[in-house]
Amino acid sequence: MSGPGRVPVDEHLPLKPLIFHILLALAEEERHGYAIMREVRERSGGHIRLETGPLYRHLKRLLDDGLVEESDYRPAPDRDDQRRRYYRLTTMGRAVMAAEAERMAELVKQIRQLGDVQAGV
Amino acid sequence: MSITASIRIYRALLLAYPRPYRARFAAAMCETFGDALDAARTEGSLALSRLWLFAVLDSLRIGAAERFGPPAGRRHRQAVPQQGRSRWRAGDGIVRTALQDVRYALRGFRRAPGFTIVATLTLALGVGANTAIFSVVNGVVLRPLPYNQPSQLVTLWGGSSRSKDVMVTIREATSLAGVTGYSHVRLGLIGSGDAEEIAGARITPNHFSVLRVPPFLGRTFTEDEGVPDQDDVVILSHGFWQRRFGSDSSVVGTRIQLGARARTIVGVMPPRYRPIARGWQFWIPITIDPSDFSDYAGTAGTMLLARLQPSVTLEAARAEVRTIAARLAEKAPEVYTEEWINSSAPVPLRDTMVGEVEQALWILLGAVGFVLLIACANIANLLLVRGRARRKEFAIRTALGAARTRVTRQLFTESALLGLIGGSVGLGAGALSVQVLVGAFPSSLPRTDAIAVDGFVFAFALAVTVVASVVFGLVPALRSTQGDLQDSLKDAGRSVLGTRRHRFQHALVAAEVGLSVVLVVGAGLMVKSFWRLQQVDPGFNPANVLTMRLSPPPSRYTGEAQLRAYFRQVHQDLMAVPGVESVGAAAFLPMAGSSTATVYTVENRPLPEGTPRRYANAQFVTPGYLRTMAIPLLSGRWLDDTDREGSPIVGVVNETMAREAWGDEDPIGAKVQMFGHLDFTVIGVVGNLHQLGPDVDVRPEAYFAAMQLTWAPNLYLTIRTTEDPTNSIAALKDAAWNVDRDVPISRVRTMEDVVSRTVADSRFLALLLGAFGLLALVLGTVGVYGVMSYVVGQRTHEIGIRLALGGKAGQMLRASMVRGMIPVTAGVVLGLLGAIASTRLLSNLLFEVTTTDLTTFALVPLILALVAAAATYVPARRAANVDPMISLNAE
Repeated sequence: MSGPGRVPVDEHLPLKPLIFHILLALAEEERHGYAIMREVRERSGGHIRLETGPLYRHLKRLLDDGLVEESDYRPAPDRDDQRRRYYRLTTMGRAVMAAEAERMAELVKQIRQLGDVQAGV
Repeated sequence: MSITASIRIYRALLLAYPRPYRARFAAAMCETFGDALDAARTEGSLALSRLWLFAVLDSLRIGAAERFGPPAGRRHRQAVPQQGRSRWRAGDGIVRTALQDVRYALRGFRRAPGFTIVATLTLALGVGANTAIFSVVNGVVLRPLPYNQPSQLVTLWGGSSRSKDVMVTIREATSLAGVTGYSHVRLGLIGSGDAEEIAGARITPNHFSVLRVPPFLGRTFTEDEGVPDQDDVVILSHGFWQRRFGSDSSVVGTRIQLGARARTIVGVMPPRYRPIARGWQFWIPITIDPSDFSDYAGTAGTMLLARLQPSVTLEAARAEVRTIAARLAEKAPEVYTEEWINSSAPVPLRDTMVGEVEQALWILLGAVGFVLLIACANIANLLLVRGRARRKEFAIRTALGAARTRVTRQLFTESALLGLIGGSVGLGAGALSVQVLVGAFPSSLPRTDAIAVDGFVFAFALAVTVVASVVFGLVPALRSTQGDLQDSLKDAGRSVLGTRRHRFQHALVAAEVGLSVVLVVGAGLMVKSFWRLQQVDPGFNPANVLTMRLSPPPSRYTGEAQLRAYFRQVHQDLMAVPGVESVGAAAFLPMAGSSTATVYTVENRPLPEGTPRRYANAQFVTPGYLRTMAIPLLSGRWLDDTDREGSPIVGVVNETMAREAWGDEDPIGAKVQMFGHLDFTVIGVVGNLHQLGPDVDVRPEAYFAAMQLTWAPNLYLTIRTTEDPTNSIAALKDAAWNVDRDVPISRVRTMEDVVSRTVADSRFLALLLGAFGLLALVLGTVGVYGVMSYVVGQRTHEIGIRLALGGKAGQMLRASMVRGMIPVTAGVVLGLLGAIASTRLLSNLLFEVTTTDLTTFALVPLILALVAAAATYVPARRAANVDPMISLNAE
C-alpha cells in the first residue's frame, strides 16, 4: 500500500469490531440485509447479534463513506425475491478491511511476543 | 399476528426516522425485518419479544440520533465516535438534556433486555386489558345513542304498556313531543328465494318522526296507514334491502308476501340507522281502530317510546304521565293496579337499552383497573430493585458533578419511556383484542355495533399509561437517589439495617396481596354463582334433543284444520327419519325466555277477598313433548292423541300450580278457567320445568293439547335422537320441507345449546373475572417473590455472619419467612376488608350466593396466603442455605 490510496484507508482505522464483522460478511459474497445479520452472528459464534435498525445505520455510513455499495446482483430467480437489495464491498472497502486485518495481526503479534517474554520469566 | 400486519407495524415504527433516511432504507429494512421475524417465529415467543423490543428501542434511539444528531460525517465518526457525539448540539439546554436522558435510558434498556421485556409486557398486559374493556364500556355505556337529541328519548312503563288504550291516551301528555309504540314480530317471507322467517317490528306510523330519522329511499308511514285495512305497507332495513333485493331501488312500490299478507314496500331506512332492537329487518304499522281501541290485556309486548318536549324535565314528565296513568286506572282498577301506575314513569331510553349490562361492565372495568394497579406495583418494585443496584452508578455521576435532580429526572425519564413503550404495545394489543372480546360477549350485550377504538378510548389508554407511569415511577425515582449516595460507593450495597429500609417494598407487597384478594374474592363469588346456576335441574333432559321452529305462512294456512294436518304430517315423517326416538312440539321453547302469563281461576275455589289474582303460564304442546323432553309425570295422565279437536278440553298442570291452587289435595278432575274464557279439566300433574331460565323461579304452568285449541301458528319442534342430534339436522329439515317447501325453518339448535345460552351472561362474567383474578394471582405472586428475593438477597451478608457465628439454617429460614409474611398478612386483612366493602356491587349478579359467602371469603385468603408463603419460602430457603464463606465474600 503506497501512493495516494494510503491516506483515506488509514483514516478509517481502527474499525469498530462490528463494522469489521459487516465488512467480513460481505467479503465472501454479496449479501442482502438479513444474510449479513445471520453471517455476523454465525462468524462471531453468536456473540454479536445485529438487529435491523443498527445494521442499516452502519450500512448507511459504510455506503456514505464509499466502503460498501448496492449491487445489482441477483441469485437464481427461483431462490430470490426480486425486491431484495444486495450489498457488496467496494475496492476501497476491501482495502480498509485488509488494512484493519493487518493492524490487528500486528497487535496479535505484539501480544504473542509479550506472552513469550512472560512465559520465559 | 400475520407477517404482513407485523411488517406494517414495523413500518410505522420507522416513522421515527427522518424522511430522507426512510426513503433510502425503509423498504430494505422492512424486508430484512420480515426475514428476522420469520426466523424468530421458529425460535419461539422469547425470541419474538426480543425482536420487537429491539425494533422499538432501536427505532426510537437511532431515529432520534438521525434526526437530532450530527450529520454523519465521513471518517471522524468511525475513527473517534465520542468526539462526534460531543459536538452534537440540538436545540436549547432543556431539550438537549431531555434527549440525552432518552438516549441514555434507551441504551440502558438495551443493556438489560430481561428487565425491559418483563416490565414492558407487564404494563402492556395492564394497559391492553384496560383498553379492551374500556372500549366496550365506551361503546355500550358512554357513547350517546345514535339518534337526534337522544337524551330526550324515554320509555314508558318499563317499555311495556299492555294496551292500545294506554297508547292512545298517553298521547294527551303535553310534556311529551311524541309517543310511539312498537313490538317485536317475526314473519315469514315467501317467494323470490328461500322461504325465511325474519325479525322486524310493528310500529305506530309516527315511529321514525319521533326518532327523527328520515328514510334512505321512499318514505316512512303516514298516519292513515295505522288504520286497519290500510296497513299493507312495509319499510325495509338497508341491510335487508341489500341482501334480499340486491340494492335495487326500483323495489320501492312493489309488493312482497310477508306473513299473511302482501305488502307494498314504501321505503328503505338509511345504512347507518340503528333500530331500537338489534336485528330488525323490516317495519310494518301497528293498527288502531279509531272507533274501538278497547283493552286487550294479556297481550303485553307493545313497548312505548316517547320524546320529551325540549324544555321539559324528566321529573315533570313523570308527574304528568303518572296523572294520566292514575286516570286510566280509575276506569279499570282490576286491570291497572297500583304497581302498574308506578311502573309508568318515563325512563331514559339509554337506561332501558343498556340495562343491567352497565353494572357488569363497570365491574369488569374495575377489575382490570385492579390488575393494572398490581402490574404497576410489580414494575415499581422492579424499578426500585434496579435503582438500588444502580446506586453506585448514581453516586459516581453525582460525584462527577451531576445534580441530584438531574439523576432523579433521568430515572423519571426511564419510567416515562417504559410507560410509553408498554402503553403503546398495550394499546395495540387492546385494540386488536376488542373485536375478539366483543365476539366472546354473550348475545345479550346491547349496542355492540358502537364498540370501536376511537379517540376517546385512545385518550383513556394514554391517561391510564401516564398515571401508571407516575405511580410506578415516582417513588422508585425518589427512593433510589435518597440518602447519602456517597455511602453506596463505600459499601457495595450490602444492608444490615433490616426491614426498615424495605418499608416501601413491604407496602408494595401488602398492596398487591390486598388487591389480589379483592379481585379473587369477586371472581370466586361469580364462579360459585355460575356453578350454582349450572347445578339447577332444568326439569327436563336436554341431551340429544334438537329443536327447530316451523312457521307455516298464514297466507297459505288459513284454517286450523290445515295447520293441524300439516303438523301431524310433519310429526309422522320426522318419526320415520333414522335415529329419531320421539318428536314433540311446543309453542314456547323452555329456557328461551318467553311464555304467556294469564290469570286463572279454579271452579268452587274463589280466592279470599283482597288476595292478588293468580297467574299461570299457558303452554301448547303435542303429546310427544313429554317423552321428548323427559318431563316426569307425577299423577294422572298426560295428553294423548285422543285429546283432539272436538273432544272435551283438558289440561295438565305443573307441580307448582297444583300446590298453589290445591295445596295437598288432588287436582285431578278439577275445573279451571284461563284467558277469561277457556274452561278445562285437569287430567294430570307433571314435574316443574324451568320455562324462563334456571335463575327464574318456576311459575304455575298449564299444558294444553295444541291439536285441541287455537294457538299461534308457529311451533317449536323438539326431536329426541338416539345419537348426537346435530348429525341429523339435514335429514330432519329435508323431511319437514318434504311436507311443504314454503314453510320457513328457523332457530335450529340443540336443546343443550338453548340451556347453555341461558347461563351465557353468568358464564362470561365468571370467565372474565376468573381470568382477571388468575392474572392478579400470578402478578401478585411474581411481585411477592420478586420483593422477597431482593430483600433476602440484601440480607445474605447478614445471614452469612449469623450462620458463621453459629446460627441455625432453620432459624434463619423461619425468621425470613416470618418477616416476609408480615406484609402478606397485612395485605390479606386489608384485602378482606376491601372485598367486604366492594362485593356488594355484585349482589344482583349473583345467583344463590351471598356477597359475603363464607367459603369464598375463607378459601381465597387461604389460597393467597399459601401461594405467597411459597413465593416467600423459595428465596428465604436459598438464603438460609448459603455457605457462610461465600456470602461473606460476596462483595
